[in-house]
Amino acid sequence: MRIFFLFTIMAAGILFGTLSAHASSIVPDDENCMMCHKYPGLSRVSDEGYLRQFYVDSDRYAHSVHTKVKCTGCHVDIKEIPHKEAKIVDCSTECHITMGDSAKPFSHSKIVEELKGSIHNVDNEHVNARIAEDFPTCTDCHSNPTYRFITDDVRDVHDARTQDKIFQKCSVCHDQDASYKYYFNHVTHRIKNLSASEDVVKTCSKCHSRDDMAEKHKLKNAASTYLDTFHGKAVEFGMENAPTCIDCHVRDGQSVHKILSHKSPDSATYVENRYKSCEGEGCHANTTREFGLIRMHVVIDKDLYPVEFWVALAFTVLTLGVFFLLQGLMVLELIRIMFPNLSFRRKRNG
Amino acid sequence: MKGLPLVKIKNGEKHYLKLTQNQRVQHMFIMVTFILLVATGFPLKFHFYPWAKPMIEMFGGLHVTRFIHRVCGVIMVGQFFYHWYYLFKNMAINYIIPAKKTGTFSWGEFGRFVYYSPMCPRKKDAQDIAAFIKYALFISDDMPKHERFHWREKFDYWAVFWGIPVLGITGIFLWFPVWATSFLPGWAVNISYIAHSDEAMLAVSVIFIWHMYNAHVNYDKFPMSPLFLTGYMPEHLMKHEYYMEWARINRIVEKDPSRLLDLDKEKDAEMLTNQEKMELIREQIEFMKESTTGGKYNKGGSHHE
Repeated sequence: MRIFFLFTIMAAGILFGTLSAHASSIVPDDENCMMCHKYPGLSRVSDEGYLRQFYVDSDRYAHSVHTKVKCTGCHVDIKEIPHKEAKIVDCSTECHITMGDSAKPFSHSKIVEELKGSIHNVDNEHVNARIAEDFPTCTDCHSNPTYRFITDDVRDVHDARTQDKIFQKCSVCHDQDASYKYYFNHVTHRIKNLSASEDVVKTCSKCHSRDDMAEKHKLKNAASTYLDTFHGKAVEFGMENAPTCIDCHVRDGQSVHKILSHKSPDSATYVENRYKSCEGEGCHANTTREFGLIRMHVVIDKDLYPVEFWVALAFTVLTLGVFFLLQGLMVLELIRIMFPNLSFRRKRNG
Repeated sequence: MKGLPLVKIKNGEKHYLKLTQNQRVQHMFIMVTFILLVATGFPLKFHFYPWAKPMIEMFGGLHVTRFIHRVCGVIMVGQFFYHWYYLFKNMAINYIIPAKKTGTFSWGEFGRFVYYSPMCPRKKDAQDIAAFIKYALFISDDMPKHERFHWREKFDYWAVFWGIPVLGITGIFLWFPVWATSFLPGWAVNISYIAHSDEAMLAVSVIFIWHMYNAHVNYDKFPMSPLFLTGYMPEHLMKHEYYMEWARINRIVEKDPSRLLDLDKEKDAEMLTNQEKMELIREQIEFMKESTTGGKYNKGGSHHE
């Protein structure tokens, strides 16, 4: 399933992504994986009935963030060609590249650790329903993105300095195929917040907009209640930098992977911390504790939020009452004028 | 003539004064701000419908609709406060000051003055409603004889009177939530949100259906009543719908004919009679004849000599 997912994401990336420049270094295919995977039609129907694509666009892959990693760096269980069905990739695997600042092998294990500490880990103490398969892994939220260098809005990069001009400077000292291009991409890709607000909401909505999931885990539909707030509507109508899920649920200075339950005191949404999350850059200023208690995920539920429930009920009764009463009078009058002299009294008299 | 003419005669029909110029301007302010508030607010309330986003984009995005909504909200609340001033001013100049000046002020009479003022709900309205229901249910053939503003108009008026404070107060809480929560609990903003949006829905359902029906789409006014533009209502509608008011104005005009403005007569007076016209035309022909045949007007006027 997850491999299928990873490959669809890669395939989608191939179709929709854009490239800002052509890096000259295509990863040498030492392992000869492209012997088969270069064919766009390479696919099969899985046992679950999904069509699985196995095509890899090597040019595309060369511009992705994993370009330095060999295939077997992640697909560690593949030892021979042709291979059997590959196992699901574990992102905490130590891969065959070393970190730039030390000689240690690189791995995402730190992030995996953070995720383990968050509410998204099935063993977290605040989890309501321990259904392991419902909990997200790396690939549920992440695809294999391509490097993007965006000069717009990057304030400190001079307008005239396009990527090529910057590379020219680098090439004065560095070899043409040296890794400066890789590191340039590595850094500039992270300068700007690349995930548009809608994308963040979409990512979380994969699980949190599903009523069946909410019911199983004794939660409420977080996505739909969020979309009913001004925050959600701002995102929906394309207001730039509108607050998304992670703006409130991730504590300032912490990784997005470490989202905690509102019940744990370290959480951004813990009742005593909540108002501090509202004070982000460009958000609300001078907030108080009470401000943090304004509910952002309101459901009309008599037991959970009684005040909201009764106010909404009162207005609904009032509106429907007034509406149907006036409509009734209108209809009666319109019928009446069709028969101006047809009253009972007249009949009796006449 | 004192004040606006109560009756104007135009194209052979009498038109009766129902709204003064001031009242028409007040109505115009409320109407325009209401429409803009709905146009900028409802796409947010119904954000899940496909028309919501194009509507926001038509205005130029959320930043624009938010600005329009707030400006219109402030104008509408300002109008509300102006209306209070207007009510007190009218009490003062129409009863309190003249009564005090003539030394005849009494609280009892002041109470009656307020009770019989055009928008005050009173016993007659209850009787009118009962009479209307009898009429509507085919129990009687007589329509109620209404005064200047009938119970439907009074209902609309008092609905707005209740609606603007509800929408204004909740609106300002939503506009300044940090300020609101400095003296209120957090859930106050949540219920403001519900109340603001639901009260708006109530207002829209009353105005766009009930008020539009009564004022314009009604069987005898369709497609539009000129009242909100001119302030005057043609006699056939006035007599049909506001019989008491029609009778009241007729009585005043009978006593004081200066309150009637006959535009037809004025127009006739401005027009030349046939005899006057013929005199003018003959005189001009005479003049032209004289000047071309070298008559007395042409002597000494030519450069050719």
